[in-house]
Amino acid sequence: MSILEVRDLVYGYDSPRGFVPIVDHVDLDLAAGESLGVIGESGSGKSSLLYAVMRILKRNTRIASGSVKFKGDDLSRISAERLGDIRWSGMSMVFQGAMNALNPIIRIGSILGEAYARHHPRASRAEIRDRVQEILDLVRVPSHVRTAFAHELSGGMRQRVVIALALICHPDVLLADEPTTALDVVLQDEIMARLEEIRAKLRFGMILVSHDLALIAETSNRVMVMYAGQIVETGAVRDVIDRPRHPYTIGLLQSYPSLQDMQRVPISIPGSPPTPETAFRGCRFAPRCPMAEPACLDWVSELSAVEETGAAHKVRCRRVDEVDACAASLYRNQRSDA
Amino acid sequence: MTLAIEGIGLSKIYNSREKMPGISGLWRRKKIAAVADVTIRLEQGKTLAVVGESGSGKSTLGRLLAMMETPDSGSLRFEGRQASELSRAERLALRRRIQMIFQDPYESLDPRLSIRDSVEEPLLALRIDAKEREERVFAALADVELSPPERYLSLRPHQLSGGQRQRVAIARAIVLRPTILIADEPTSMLDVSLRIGILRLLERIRARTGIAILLITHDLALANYASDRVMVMYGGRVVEEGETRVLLKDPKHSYTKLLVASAPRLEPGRQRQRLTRPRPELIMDTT
Ligand SMILES: Nc1ncnc2c1ncn2[C@@H]1O[C@H](COP(=O)(O)OP(=O)(O)O)[C@@H](O)[C@H]1O
Ligand SMILES: Nc1ncnc2c1ncn2[C@@H]1O[C@H](COP(=O)(O)OP(=O)(O)O)[C@@H](O)[C@H]1O
Ligand code: SF4
Ligand SMILES: [Mg+2]
Ligand SMILES: [Mg+2]
Repeated sequence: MSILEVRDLVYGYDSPRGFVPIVDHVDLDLAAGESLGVIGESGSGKSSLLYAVMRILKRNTRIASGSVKFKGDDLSRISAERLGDIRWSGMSMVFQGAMNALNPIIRIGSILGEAYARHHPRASRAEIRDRVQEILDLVRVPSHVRTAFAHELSGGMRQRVVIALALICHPDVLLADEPTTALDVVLQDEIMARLEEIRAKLRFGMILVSHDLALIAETSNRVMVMYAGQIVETGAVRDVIDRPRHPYTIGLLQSYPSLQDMQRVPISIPGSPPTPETAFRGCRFAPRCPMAEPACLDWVSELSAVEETGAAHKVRCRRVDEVDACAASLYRNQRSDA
Repeated sequence: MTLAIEGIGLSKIYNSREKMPGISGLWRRKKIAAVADVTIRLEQGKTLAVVGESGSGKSTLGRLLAMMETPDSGSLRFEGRQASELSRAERLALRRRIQMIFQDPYESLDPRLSIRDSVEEPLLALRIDAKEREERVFAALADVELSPPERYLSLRPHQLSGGQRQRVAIARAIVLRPTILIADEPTSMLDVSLRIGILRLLERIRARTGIAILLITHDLALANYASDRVMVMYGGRVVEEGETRVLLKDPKHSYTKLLVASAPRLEPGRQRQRLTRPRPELIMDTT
């Protein structure tokens, strides 16, 4: 059973020319304790998807249709109060860049304590103290950091605090938006290792958003590849990485420089991702796709199951059956562009 | 082998403060050897990568070579001449031949300036006429593959994608026809899918102009792809140095091994090695 169930979610904003979808008809299921990765270039709508799931709506945006169910509750049909509760103790979020947005004038211990107290109004001071200490121990932040201010901490330490803040109410689901992107490889690895240990212990589900496929390969059971607000490929991590079926996924994989395979020369995907206001015609990836044909521009795109790998592996490409044969030569002889 | 620039025994010490554990509001002063006795040689037409985690001294080393900071000890030699012996005018001319690009192109580009003005600005200090300036701006934009240049001239930084902005920053650096380019984490703010494009661009510029490149990065896979030699820094010191392919295939120093072991992989089965870092000798004295 899914703890989180998203159906046909459409999220966007109204412009003078009509409604502009940023997240376009997305389905998503997360089982309890499962780890799902969301990958795509900047601008593909990953952060927006998390905002829409949490119903943290920016002023100009709205959810146009679709549903988000958390433990069976439709989030659009519950009271604001109940939604507020779910937001920390049911589902919580590590925002992109949050380590640079910690309140600068409140001590770390108080930031954590206040977050806990808000959702546990009857908690005694001692209980709050214990809970803060417990969560800091979990993310391995030395206890003297409780009395420090955010600016006194290193980047790695601030990121741990941000993770502690998201976990202090023991959520069932953690939405982590690029939690290590600003950090160097050594720190990233330490923090991801820590997060995996905590997850094994507390058993919360996680949606990890990243533009780094290898990070997702190592952390997630399943992956969703997003492009221009749509899911273009989804499936078990190993299926998608070992037998990618969408030309975009193949591009992401081939652009990844590898230390293991030093002979392989990474490519770059030509062009850049579109903005939501682009007037799309047919397949949204067509302008950058090395396999595009005129018919792709008239294709009403849909996500369909890949036969060999099974129903869980889905792809949005009308030439899906030919992709395997072309994969090796795709993107070669391409000129790089911004 | 012609050396573009040589730094011998470079050290840079900063005064810094560190919070006392446990006691709020109490700080202790300490001196940090951000760079400690580093000797570095940049060859013309080659790329040297400097790798290491945050705080290992890479950016400080880059600034020392770019003469944006003065070393506390050690010396710079440029085309066989000691930098300290140069006249003011010579130093100024020299500094123009060493250009730097940074992680965040937003910071190096003035948001109010159009792309044309941004790229032209460094030329204004030189005695060249408007016509030649224009030609050089066009050539630089074409070099960074923002083509046709006309399409970009009147745009402002916020109208460009991250990758395009970094290309403008590179155009601004090469418009002065430098002989040395110091690229400090030029791709770490960009999507993985765009990084190779930027590195390949630097590669082409290097092949055509014979410029020497210092590539600062914490990503070993990128260093592997884009450099001839690599220097591994930790705690302000060079812990290992050598030909890139050889060194990364068979790292000798435990810190280099840690760096290699920390990078996530697409292939399954990486063991997170519980390697511990060697203790850096960062702190010189405490008062
Ligand atoms: N509130 C908003 N109003 C207008 N455009 C938005 C808004 N939020 C996001 N966008 C646009 O939607 C696209 C997707 O953004 P985002 O979800 O941040 O992508 P990602 O996290 O994958 O980089 C981007 O082009 C972004 O500029
Ligand atoms: N202007 C400065 N004042 C004080 N300390 C500095 C300054 N610049 C760098 N440092 C310190 O020097 C060390 C090396 O920094 P840096 O050269 O930026 O490393 P890297 O680029 O490898 O991250 C760090 O401990 C940093 O805090
Ligand atoms: S539908 Fe056509 S354009 Fe779209 S990804 Fe498939 S081959 Fe490329
Ligand atoms: Mg985002
Ligand atoms: Mg640096």
